[in-house]
Amino acid sequence: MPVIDQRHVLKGLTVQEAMRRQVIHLPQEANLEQAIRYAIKFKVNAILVTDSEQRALGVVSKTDLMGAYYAGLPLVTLLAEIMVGPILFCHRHDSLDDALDLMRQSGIHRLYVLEDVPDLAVGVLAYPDIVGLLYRYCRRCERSILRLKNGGRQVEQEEHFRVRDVMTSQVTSFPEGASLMEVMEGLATYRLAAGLIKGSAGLPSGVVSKTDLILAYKHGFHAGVPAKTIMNSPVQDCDQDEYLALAIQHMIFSDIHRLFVCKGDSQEIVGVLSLSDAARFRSGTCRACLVSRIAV
Amino acid sequence: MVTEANGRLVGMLSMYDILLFIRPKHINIWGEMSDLELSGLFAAACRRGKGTLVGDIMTTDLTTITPDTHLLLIIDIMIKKHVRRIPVLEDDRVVGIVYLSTVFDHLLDKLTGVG
Repeated sequence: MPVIDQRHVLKGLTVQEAMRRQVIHLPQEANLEQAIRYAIKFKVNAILVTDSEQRALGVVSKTDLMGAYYAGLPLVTLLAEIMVGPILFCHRHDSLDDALDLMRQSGIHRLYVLEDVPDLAVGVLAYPDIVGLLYRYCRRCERSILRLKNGGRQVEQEEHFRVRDVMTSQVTSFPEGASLMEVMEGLATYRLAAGLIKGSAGLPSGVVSKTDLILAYKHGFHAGVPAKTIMNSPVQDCDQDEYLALAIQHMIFSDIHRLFVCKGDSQEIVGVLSLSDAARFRSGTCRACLVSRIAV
Repeated sequence: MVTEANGRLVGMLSMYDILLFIRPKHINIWGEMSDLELSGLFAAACRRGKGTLVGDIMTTDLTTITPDTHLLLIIDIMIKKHVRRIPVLEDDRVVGIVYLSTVFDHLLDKLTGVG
Protein backbone atom coordinates (compact mmCIF):
# COMPACT_ATOMS: atom_id res chain seq x y z
CA MET A 1 0.00 0.00 0.00
CA PRO A 2 1.50 3.39 -0.90
CA VAL A 3 2.45 5.48 2.09
CA ILE A 4 1.33 9.05 1.61
CA ASP A 5 2.13 10.64 4.95
CA GLN A 6 5.44 11.60 6.44
CA ARG A 7 4.83 10.51 10.02
CA HIS A 8 7.47 8.22 11.49
CA VAL A 9 6.22 7.41 14.98
CA LEU A 10 2.92 6.22 16.41
CA LYS A 11 2.83 8.74 19.24
CA GLY A 12 0.15 11.38 18.77
CA LEU A 13 -2.06 9.39 16.41
CA THR A 14 -5.79 9.92 16.80
CA VAL A 15 -8.67 7.50 16.42
CA GLN A 16 -9.71 8.91 13.05
CA GLU A 17 -6.37 7.90 11.54
CA ALA A 18 -6.95 4.24 12.41
CA MET A 19 -10.72 3.80 12.26
CA ARG A 20 -12.81 2.26 9.50
CA ARG A 21 -15.64 4.38 8.24
CA GLN A 22 -17.86 1.46 7.22
CA VAL A 23 -20.05 0.52 10.19
CA ILE A 24 -21.86 -2.76 9.62
CA HIS A 25 -25.24 -2.44 11.31
CA LEU A 26 -28.68 -4.00 11.35
CA PRO A 27 -31.97 -2.79 12.82
CA GLN A 28 -33.08 -4.31 16.12
CA GLU A 29 -35.96 -6.02 14.28
CA ALA A 30 -33.49 -8.04 12.16
CA ASN A 31 -33.06 -11.67 13.17
CA LEU A 32 -30.12 -13.95 13.94
CA GLU A 33 -30.09 -15.44 10.43
CA GLN A 34 -29.56 -11.97 8.95
CA ALA A 35 -26.82 -11.21 11.46
CA ILE A 36 -24.97 -14.41 10.54
CA ARG A 37 -25.22 -13.57 6.85
CA TYR A 38 -23.86 -10.07 7.52
CA ALA A 39 -20.98 -11.45 9.60
CA ILE A 40 -20.06 -13.81 6.73
CA LYS A 41 -20.57 -11.36 3.88
CA PHE A 42 -18.83 -8.36 5.45
CA LYS A 43 -16.25 -10.54 7.25
CA VAL A 44 -16.76 -8.79 10.57
CA ASN A 45 -16.75 -10.15 14.10
CA ALA A 46 -19.56 -7.92 15.36
CA ILE A 47 -22.62 -6.09 14.10
CA LEU A 48 -23.98 -2.89 15.55
CA VAL A 49 -27.71 -2.99 16.33
CA THR A 50 -29.52 0.27 15.64
CA ASP A 51 -32.96 1.87 15.95
CA SER A 52 -34.97 3.37 13.12
CA GLU A 53 -32.82 6.53 13.18
CA GLN A 54 -29.63 4.45 13.06
CA ARG A 55 -28.73 5.26 16.68
CA ALA A 56 -26.66 2.54 18.31
CA LEU A 57 -28.52 0.31 20.76
CA GLY A 58 -26.25 -2.68 21.24
CA VAL A 59 -23.78 -5.08 19.64
CA VAL A 60 -24.13 -8.68 18.48
CA SER A 61 -20.80 -10.46 18.05
CA LYS A 62 -19.94 -13.85 16.60
CA THR A 63 -19.53 -14.98 20.21
CA ASP A 64 -23.11 -13.87 20.95
CA LEU A 65 -24.36 -15.69 17.84
CA MET A 66 -22.48 -18.80 18.95
CA GLY A 67 -24.11 -18.39 22.37
CA ALA A 68 -27.54 -18.26 20.75
CA TYR A 69 -26.72 -21.51 18.90
CA TYR A 70 -25.60 -23.07 22.19
CA ALA A 71 -28.80 -21.94 23.90
CA GLY A 72 -30.92 -23.40 21.09
CA LEU A 73 -32.56 -20.11 20.11
CA PRO A 74 -34.42 -20.18 16.80
CA LEU A 75 -32.81 -18.29 13.91
CA VAL A 76 -35.82 -15.97 13.73
CA THR A 77 -34.99 -14.57 17.18
CA LEU A 78 -34.69 -10.78 17.00
CA LEU A 79 -31.31 -9.13 17.53
CA ALA A 80 -32.92 -6.92 20.19
CA GLU A 81 -33.28 -10.06 22.34
CA ILE A 82 -29.61 -11.03 22.38
CA MET A 83 -27.73 -7.77 21.76
CA VAL A 84 -25.19 -6.73 24.35
CA GLY A 85 -24.73 -3.27 25.81
CA PRO A 86 -23.78 -0.71 26.80
CA ILE A 87 -21.72 -0.03 23.71
CA LEU A 88 -18.26 1.34 24.30
CA PHE A 89 -17.55 4.44 22.27
CA CYS A 90 -14.62 6.69 21.59
CA HIS A 91 -14.46 9.94 19.63
CA ARG A 92 -12.61 10.46 16.38
CA HIS A 93 -10.30 13.08 17.88
CA ASP A 94 -9.39 10.94 20.93
CA SER A 95 -5.80 9.80 21.06
CA LEU A 96 -5.17 6.22 20.05
CA ASP A 97 -3.50 5.75 23.45
CA ASP A 98 -6.73 6.59 25.29
CA ALA A 99 -8.83 4.39 23.00
CA LEU A 100 -6.49 1.44 23.51
CA ASP A 101 -6.59 1.99 27.27
CA LEU A 102 -10.36 1.70 27.15
CA MET A 103 -10.06 -1.50 25.09
CA ARG A 104 -7.59 -2.97 27.59
CA GLN A 105 -9.68 -2.06 30.62
CA SER A 106 -12.79 -3.55 29.04
CA GLY A 107 -11.11 -6.60 27.50
CA ILE A 108 -12.56 -5.92 24.04
CA HIS A 109 -11.12 -5.66 20.53
CA ARG A 110 -13.26 -2.89 19.06
CA LEU A 111 -14.75 0.48 19.88
CA TYR A 112 -17.39 2.37 17.94
CA VAL A 113 -16.57 5.94 17.02
CA LEU A 114 -18.93 8.84 17.68
CA GLU A 115 -18.98 12.26 16.10
CA ASP A 116 -21.32 15.00 17.27
CA VAL A 117 -24.70 13.30 17.23
CA PRO A 118 -25.22 11.16 20.36
CA ASP A 119 -25.28 7.39 19.73
CA LEU A 120 -24.67 7.76 15.99
CA ALA A 121 -21.62 5.66 15.14
CA VAL A 122 -19.49 7.02 12.29
CA GLY A 123 -16.72 4.44 12.43
CA VAL A 124 -15.18 1.44 14.12
CA LEU A 125 -11.76 1.19 15.71
CA ALA A 126 -10.61 -2.42 15.65
CA TYR A 127 -7.47 -4.12 16.90
CA PRO A 128 -6.29 -5.41 13.47
CA ASP A 129 -6.46 -1.89 12.00
CA ILE A 130 -4.07 -0.70 14.69
CA VAL A 131 -1.70 -3.59 13.95
CA GLY A 132 -1.68 -2.46 10.32
CA LEU A 133 -0.72 1.07 11.38
CA LEU A 134 1.96 -0.27 13.67
CA TYR A 135 3.50 -2.13 10.75
CA ARG A 136 3.47 1.01 8.61
CA TYR A 137 4.99 3.38 11.15
CA CYS A 138 7.33 1.20 13.19
CA ARG A 139 9.09 -0.23 10.14
CA ARG A 140 10.24 3.18 9.01
CA CYS A 141 10.92 4.55 12.49
CA GLU A 142 14.58 5.20 13.18
CA ARG A 143 14.12 3.53 16.59
CA SER A 144 12.98 0.25 15.02
CA ILE A 145 14.74 -2.58 16.83
CA LEU A 146 15.46 -4.11 13.43
CA ARG A 147 17.57 -1.10 12.49
CA LEU A 148 19.25 -0.84 15.87
CA LYS A 149 20.25 -4.50 15.95
CA ASN A 150 21.60 -4.46 12.48
CA GLY A 151 23.01 -1.02 12.04
CA GLY A 152 20.43 -0.28 9.39
CA ARG A 153 20.38 -3.62 7.54
CA GLN A 154 16.73 -4.20 8.32
CA VAL A 155 15.91 -6.56 5.48
CA GLU A 156 18.57 -9.13 6.35
CA GLN A 157 17.42 -9.35 9.94
CA GLU A 158 13.71 -9.76 9.28
CA GLU A 159 14.18 -12.42 6.62
CA HIS A 160 15.71 -14.65 9.28
CA PHE A 161 12.82 -14.55 11.75
CA ARG A 162 11.38 -17.98 12.35
CA VAL A 163 7.86 -18.99 13.33
CA ARG A 164 9.09 -20.33 16.68
CA ASP A 165 10.19 -16.77 17.63
CA VAL A 166 6.60 -15.51 17.57
CA MET A 167 4.22 -18.44 18.10
CA THR A 168 2.11 -19.05 21.19
CA SER A 169 2.72 -22.47 22.69
CA GLN A 170 -0.72 -23.03 24.17
CA VAL A 171 -3.03 -25.03 21.89
CA THR A 172 -6.57 -26.06 22.77
CA SER A 173 -7.84 -29.15 20.96
CA PHE A 174 -10.97 -31.25 20.84
CA PRO A 175 -11.50 -34.86 19.73
CA GLU A 176 -13.28 -35.39 16.40
CA GLY A 177 -16.18 -36.95 18.26
CA ALA A 178 -16.72 -33.94 20.54
CA SER A 179 -20.08 -32.34 19.90
CA LEU A 180 -20.41 -28.80 18.61
CA MET A 181 -21.81 -27.98 22.06
CA GLU A 182 -18.55 -29.12 23.64
CA VAL A 183 -16.48 -27.16 21.13
CA MET A 184 -18.55 -24.04 21.83
CA GLU A 185 -18.05 -24.49 25.58
CA GLY A 186 -14.28 -24.79 25.04
CA LEU A 187 -14.02 -21.74 22.77
CA ALA A 188 -16.07 -19.65 25.21
CA THR A 189 -14.08 -20.81 28.25
CA TYR A 190 -10.69 -20.05 26.75
CA ARG A 191 -11.85 -17.04 24.70
CA LEU A 192 -10.66 -18.60 21.45
CA ALA A 193 -11.77 -17.91 17.90
CA ALA A 194 -11.03 -21.48 16.75
CA GLY A 195 -10.06 -24.88 18.10
CA LEU A 196 -7.94 -27.70 16.74
CA ILE A 197 -9.71 -31.02 16.13
CA LYS A 198 -7.76 -34.24 16.61
CA GLY A 199 -8.52 -37.67 15.17
CA SER A 200 -8.57 -40.99 17.01
CA ALA A 201 -4.79 -41.37 16.75
CA GLY A 202 -4.34 -37.95 18.37
CA LEU A 203 -3.22 -36.40 15.10
CA PRO A 204 -4.66 -33.05 13.95
CA SER A 205 -7.49 -33.55 11.49
CA GLY A 206 -9.24 -30.19 11.22
CA VAL A 207 -10.18 -26.83 12.70
CA VAL A 208 -13.52 -25.46 13.88
CA SER A 209 -13.85 -21.69 14.17
CA LYS A 210 -16.64 -19.46 15.44
CA THR A 211 -17.41 -18.67 11.80
CA ASP A 212 -17.83 -22.41 11.06
CA LEU A 213 -20.13 -22.72 14.08
CA ILE A 214 -22.43 -19.84 13.16
CA LEU A 215 -22.60 -21.14 9.58
CA ALA A 216 -23.55 -24.59 10.97
CA TYR A 217 -26.27 -22.78 12.98
CA LYS A 218 -27.56 -21.08 9.85
CA HIS A 219 -27.48 -24.32 7.84
CA GLY A 220 -29.55 -26.12 10.47
CA PHE A 221 -26.97 -28.51 11.95
CA HIS A 222 -27.98 -29.85 15.35
CA ALA A 223 -25.51 -28.66 18.00
CA GLY A 224 -25.08 -32.26 19.13
CA VAL A 225 -23.36 -33.42 15.91
CA PRO A 226 -19.65 -34.26 16.16
CA ALA A 227 -17.07 -31.58 15.35
CA LYS A 228 -15.76 -33.54 12.36
CA THR A 229 -19.10 -32.89 10.60
CA ILE A 230 -18.29 -29.24 10.05
CA MET A 231 -14.52 -28.92 10.58
CA ASN A 232 -12.22 -27.40 7.99
CA SER A 233 -9.73 -29.97 6.82
CA PRO A 234 -6.79 -30.31 6.37
CA VAL A 235 -5.35 -28.17 9.15
CA GLN A 236 -3.55 -25.10 7.84
CA ASP A 237 -0.16 -25.44 9.47
CA CYS A 238 3.51 -24.60 9.18
CA ASP A 239 6.74 -25.85 10.70
CA GLN A 240 8.11 -24.08 13.76
CA ASP A 241 11.38 -23.56 11.90
CA GLU A 242 9.73 -22.04 8.82
CA TYR A 243 10.62 -18.44 7.97
CA LEU A 244 8.08 -16.01 9.42
CA ALA A 245 7.65 -14.27 6.05
CA LEU A 246 6.57 -17.56 4.43
CA ALA A 247 4.11 -18.28 7.23
CA ILE A 248 2.61 -14.79 6.83
CA GLN A 249 2.27 -15.39 3.08
CA HIS A 250 0.52 -18.68 3.83
CA MET A 251 -2.03 -16.88 6.03
CA ILE A 252 -2.57 -14.11 3.48
CA PHE A 253 -3.18 -16.56 0.62
CA SER A 254 -5.56 -18.63 2.75
CA ASP A 255 -7.27 -15.52 4.22
CA ILE A 256 -6.88 -16.88 7.74
CA HIS A 257 -5.71 -15.22 10.93
CA ARG A 258 -3.91 -18.18 12.48
CA LEU A 259 -1.71 -21.09 11.54
CA PHE A 260 -1.15 -24.10 13.72
CA VAL A 261 2.53 -24.81 14.18
CA CYS A 262 3.94 -28.32 13.95
CA LYS A 263 7.27 -29.79 14.87
CA GLY A 264 9.21 -31.38 12.04
CA ASP A 265 7.51 -34.30 10.28
CA SER A 266 5.84 -35.56 13.43
CA GLN A 267 2.54 -33.71 12.78
CA GLU A 268 2.60 -32.83 16.46
CA ILE A 269 1.06 -29.38 16.92
CA VAL A 270 3.23 -27.34 19.26
CA GLY A 271 1.82 -23.84 18.91
CA VAL A 272 -0.32 -21.25 17.12
CA LEU A 273 0.85 -18.28 15.09
CA SER A 274 -1.50 -15.32 14.66
CA LEU A 275 -1.24 -12.83 11.80
CA SER A 276 -1.47 -9.92 14.28
CA ASP A 277 1.43 -11.22 16.37
CA ALA A 278 3.48 -11.98 13.26
CA ALA A 279 2.88 -8.50 11.83
CA ARG A 280 3.64 -6.82 15.15
CA PHE A 281 6.88 -8.78 15.51
CA ARG A 282 7.97 -8.16 11.94
CA SER A 283 7.26 -4.44 12.29
CA GLY A 284 10.33 -4.11 14.51
CA THR A 285 8.42 -2.03 17.04
CA CYS A 286 10.57 -0.75 19.90
CA ARG A 287 7.43 -0.45 22.10
CA ALA A 288 8.40 3.09 23.12
CA CYS A 289 5.11 4.52 21.82
CA LEU A 290 2.24 3.42 24.07
CA VAL A 291 0.15 2.36 21.07
CA SER A 292 2.70 -0.24 20.05
CA ARG A 293 2.15 -2.12 23.32
CA ILE A 294 -1.24 -3.29 22.16
CA ALA A 295 -2.38 -6.41 23.91
CA VAL A 296 -6.05 -6.78 24.70
CA MET B 1 -32.52 -12.80 -8.32
CA VAL B 2 -32.52 -15.78 -5.98
CA THR B 3 -35.71 -17.82 -5.91
CA GLU B 4 -36.98 -20.98 -4.24
CA ALA B 5 -38.20 -23.96 -6.26
CA ASN B 6 -41.76 -22.58 -6.19
CA GLY B 7 -40.58 -19.31 -7.75
CA ARG B 8 -40.80 -17.24 -4.55
CA LEU B 9 -38.17 -14.50 -4.42
CA VAL B 10 -35.90 -14.94 -1.37
CA GLY B 11 -32.99 -12.61 -2.15
CA MET B 12 -30.74 -10.92 -4.66
CA LEU B 13 -27.07 -11.38 -5.35
CA SER B 14 -25.23 -8.39 -6.75
CA MET B 15 -21.70 -7.84 -8.03
CA TYR B 16 -21.08 -5.82 -4.87
CA ASP B 17 -22.14 -8.78 -2.68
CA ILE B 18 -19.62 -11.01 -4.45
CA LEU B 19 -16.82 -8.43 -4.33
CA LEU B 20 -17.44 -7.92 -0.62
CA PHE B 21 -17.05 -11.62 -0.04
CA ILE B 22 -13.94 -11.97 -2.19
CA ARG B 23 -12.21 -9.09 -0.36
CA PRO B 24 -9.77 -10.71 2.11
CA LYS B 25 -10.69 -10.32 5.76
CA HIS B 26 -7.22 -9.36 6.96
CA ILE B 27 -6.35 -6.89 4.21
CA ASN B 28 -6.05 -4.12 6.84
CA ILE B 29 -2.97 -5.88 8.21
CA TRP B 30 -1.23 -7.32 5.19
CA GLY B 31 -2.19 -4.35 3.01
CA GLU B 32 0.65 -2.57 4.81
CA MET B 33 3.13 -5.35 4.04
CA SER B 34 4.33 -4.07 0.70
CA ASP B 35 7.62 -5.90 1.22
CA LEU B 36 6.04 -9.34 0.81
CA GLU B 37 5.74 -11.23 -2.48
CA LEU B 38 2.01 -11.61 -3.13
CA SER B 39 1.67 -12.49 -6.82
CA GLY B 40 -1.19 -14.93 -7.46
CA LEU B 41 -3.21 -13.59 -4.54
CA PHE B 42 -6.20 -12.53 -6.64
CA ALA B 43 -6.49 -16.01 -8.16
CA ALA B 44 -6.30 -17.51 -4.66
CA ALA B 45 -9.11 -15.22 -3.47
CA CYS B 46 -11.26 -16.31 -6.42
CA ARG B 47 -10.64 -20.01 -5.69
CA ARG B 48 -11.69 -19.53 -2.07
CA GLY B 49 -15.02 -18.09 -3.13
CA LYS B 50 -16.00 -21.04 -5.34
CA GLY B 51 -17.59 -23.22 -2.63
CA THR B 52 -19.65 -20.44 -1.09
CA LEU B 53 -23.42 -20.78 -1.07
CA VAL B 54 -25.43 -17.97 -2.67
CA GLY B 55 -27.79 -18.04 0.33
CA ASP B 56 -24.95 -17.17 2.71
CA ILE B 57 -24.06 -13.85 1.08
CA MET B 58 -27.18 -12.73 -0.81
CA THR B 59 -29.12 -9.63 0.19
CA THR B 60 -32.53 -10.44 1.64
CA ASP B 61 -33.90 -7.07 2.71
CA LEU B 62 -35.45 -6.37 -0.67
CA THR B 63 -37.64 -3.64 -2.01
CA THR B 64 -40.08 -4.88 -4.64
CA ILE B 65 -42.67 -3.30 -6.88
CA THR B 66 -45.68 -4.51 -8.83
CA PRO B 67 -46.32 -4.13 -12.58
CA ASP B 68 -48.59 -1.13 -11.92
CA THR B 69 -46.15 0.85 -9.71
CA HIS B 70 -45.86 4.40 -11.05
CA LEU B 71 -42.58 5.20 -12.82
CA LEU B 72 -41.98 8.27 -10.62
CA LEU B 73 -42.39 6.13 -7.52
CA ILE B 74 -39.82 3.70 -8.94
CA ILE B 75 -37.40 6.62 -9.45
CA ASP B 76 -38.04 7.74 -5.86
CA ILE B 77 -37.28 4.24 -4.49
CA MET B 78 -34.07 4.00 -6.52
CA ILE B 79 -32.85 7.38 -5.23
CA LYS B 80 -33.83 6.88 -1.60
CA LYS B 81 -32.56 3.34 -1.24
CA HIS B 82 -29.53 3.62 -3.54
CA VAL B 83 -30.64 0.61 -5.59
CA ARG B 84 -30.08 0.16 -9.31
CA ARG B 85 -32.54 -2.67 -9.88
CA ILE B 86 -35.92 -3.57 -8.41
CA PRO B 87 -37.71 -6.91 -8.84
CA VAL B 88 -41.31 -6.79 -10.06
CA LEU B 89 -43.68 -9.17 -8.26
CA GLU B 90 -47.21 -10.27 -8.99
CA ASP B 91 -48.93 -12.58 -6.48
CA ASP B 92 -45.53 -13.15 -4.80
CA ARG B 93 -44.00 -14.37 -8.06
CA VAL B 94 -41.26 -12.66 -10.03
CA VAL B 95 -42.57 -11.30 -13.31
CA GLY B 96 -39.71 -8.96 -14.18
CA ILE B 97 -37.06 -6.51 -13.06
CA VAL B 98 -36.63 -2.76 -13.59
CA TYR B 99 -33.08 -1.45 -14.06
CA LEU B 100 -31.97 2.11 -13.40
CA SER B 101 -30.55 2.23 -16.94
CA THR B 102 -33.90 1.19 -18.43
CA VAL B 103 -35.70 3.94 -16.51
CA PHE B 104 -33.10 6.47 -17.63
CA ASP B 105 -33.29 5.35 -21.28
CA HIS B 106 -37.07 5.71 -21.12
CA LEU B 107 -36.66 9.18 -19.64
CA LEU B 108 -34.24 10.15 -22.42
CA ASP B 109 -36.66 8.89 -25.08
CA LYS B 110 -39.41 11.03 -23.57
CA LEU B 111 -37.17 14.09 -23.32
CA THR B 112 -35.98 13.78 -26.90
CA GLY B 113 -39.41 12.96 -28.25
CA VAL B 114 -38.45 9.50 -29.53
CA GLY B 115 -40.77 7.51 -27.24
